[in-house]
Amino acid sequence: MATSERVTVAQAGNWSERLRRVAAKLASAPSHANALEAYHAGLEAPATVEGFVSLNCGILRNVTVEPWLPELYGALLRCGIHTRFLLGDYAVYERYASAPSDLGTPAPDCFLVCLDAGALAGDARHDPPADMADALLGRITGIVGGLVDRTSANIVVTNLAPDPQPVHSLHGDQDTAGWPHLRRTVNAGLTAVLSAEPRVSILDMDRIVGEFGASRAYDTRMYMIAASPFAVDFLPHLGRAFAAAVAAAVLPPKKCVVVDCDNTLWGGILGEDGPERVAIGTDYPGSAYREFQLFLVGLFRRGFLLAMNSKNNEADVLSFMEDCPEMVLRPADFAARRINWEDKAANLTELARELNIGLDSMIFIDDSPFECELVKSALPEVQVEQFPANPLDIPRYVSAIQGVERLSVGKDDLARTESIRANASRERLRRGAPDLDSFLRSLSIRLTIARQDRTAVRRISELCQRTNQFNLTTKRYGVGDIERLMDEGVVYTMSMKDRFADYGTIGVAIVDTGSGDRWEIDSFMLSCRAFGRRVEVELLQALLEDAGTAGVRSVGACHVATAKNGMTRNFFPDYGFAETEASDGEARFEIQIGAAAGRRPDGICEVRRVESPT
Amino acid sequence: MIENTEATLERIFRSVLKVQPDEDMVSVSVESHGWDSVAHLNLILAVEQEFQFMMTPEEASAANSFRTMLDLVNSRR
Repeated sequence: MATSERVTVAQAGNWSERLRRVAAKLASAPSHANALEAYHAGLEAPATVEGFVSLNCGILRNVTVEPWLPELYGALLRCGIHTRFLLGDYAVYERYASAPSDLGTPAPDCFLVCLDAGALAGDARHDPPADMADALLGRITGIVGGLVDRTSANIVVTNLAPDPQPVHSLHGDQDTAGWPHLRRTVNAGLTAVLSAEPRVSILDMDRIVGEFGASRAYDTRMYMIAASPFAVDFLPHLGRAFAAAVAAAVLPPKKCVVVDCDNTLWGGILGEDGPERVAIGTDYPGSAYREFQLFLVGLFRRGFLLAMNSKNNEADVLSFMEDCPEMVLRPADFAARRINWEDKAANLTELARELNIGLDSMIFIDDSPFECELVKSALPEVQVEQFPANPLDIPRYVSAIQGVERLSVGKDDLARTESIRANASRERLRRGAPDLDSFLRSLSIRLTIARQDRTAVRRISELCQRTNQFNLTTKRYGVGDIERLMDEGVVYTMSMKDRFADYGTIGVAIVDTGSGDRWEIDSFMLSCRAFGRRVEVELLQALLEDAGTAGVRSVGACHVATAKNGMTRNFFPDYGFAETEASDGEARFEIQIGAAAGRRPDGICEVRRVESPT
Repeated sequence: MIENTEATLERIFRSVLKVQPDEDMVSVSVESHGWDSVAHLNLILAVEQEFQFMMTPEEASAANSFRTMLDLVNSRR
């Protein structure tokens, strides 16, 4: 058959192109058939194909994993890895753990240890003996330990997945001696034991099945017919999780994430919209960009370098990032930056030189399709991840970025130790919080009280629009109103952090400074996020201190009752304000500066005062 | 371009089995073309995914040629 022979010869000449083509086809039209086509192309291809990392993967299993192979192959191919698989016989893990060469040649440089919980634990799941968790944990760690000792391969272990069709579920939720609880005990034990070994990674099946949806992940029919546990639609998801673990182990690590600023670190364009109108903070859409910044914080903490590559005026970006209270990342968090009007590919080359790293260890993140394409064509070795235009897509985008799992062992260990320490201290915190005062103290609440913060105008207006419960006068000001009130009087903002989170701007007070010797509190509100921490008193205290400094003799205030703000009726009297007037739903108060006697800040919160430049 | 059922099924069979480009699908059955138990499982999974239906165990084991699989798909659509 001359025709097909000619085809074969032509294909043999260009396997890397053919593998790229089947990978691209699978990516654009994911299906089991297209995964099979890619897999069969891989089986025909030589062991090494230019442009791909070759991998020999041994699989130890106790169920039918054959339908996984095309999907695993496809997911790995997309990471640039061309894989050959060697399958072990069912359930004889110990045989390969004691003699890995029994699996065949060439010796695997990576093992996947698949553990089907049903097949592994058997009927005993329904009446578990007392030592069942210990016995299973001992068996699995023994198998993995054997591979660690006898090979130099990386080892990926899928832990015990939740039951596809749980029986006696409610009882299982309570029963510490039942299988659901024991399964989790085994998984927790595996993490504790195996995380110490740098060549081993665990794929947590609770996470992977949960991400996809437990009700869709299994095919109990195929489990009964063919011992094949998972639904075909779930396999690509499993494949991606496996490929991420393998890629993290075998590909050269990424070291630096280079980000654009406008519509990436924050929403909007700083140079056009101005610092007061770009979106960053705890409310949508700023909250979505804030999540992205927190994602970068996580990378920073795990040893990645951060860098900026932005078309902007450098001074504008730096002062905004320094001054905006809701910014998570500050200029100092970035190891290098190119904020200019140059070509971004040239900037990347310079950043790589400055940081002394290869372009192939960089991930470039930018919302502009133009910039992304420019960098892809000029610097193909840079991994380009185009940032989504819609902020709602940011969480999905962030979870799909490849390459960020990669870590050097030393830094990984460091981060792990730190998180173990953090967990331990959180545990202590939970156990030892006997009364509210100690609890509040243990939170390490830090407040920042700012005056005239024009970067917060939009957030202030939002609080005016939305705050109902702790709102003394409930005046619904727009952005323009707030700007005017800043010109005419003083607008206070208070933001809050504690050891767990950054809550952003949570308090606002607006003062009419009048002729100067008497101030009137026009508005005073606190976001419900900050209730129960006594922080409102700090804002009032700051305001009254300022009044004293400014030579004001008395401060007036007012409570306008609504259906929802009953909790604030006694706020001013509790502090020592005298009630001067009360009529249907409206009460007026007055306090002489220096004569106050009432509720005071109790020193629980750390307060920082900021004066914004006018 | 919308494929008809037979063309779609043929594409799936070619992705699973070793069928030469110029070979007629009608000759393909469980006795030929590397149609082993793994190929059978992959065929069932790929066909079910493509045509969005689930076979009973009896249907799955009876679908042992291109022709019987095509009849099954047509009967379930």
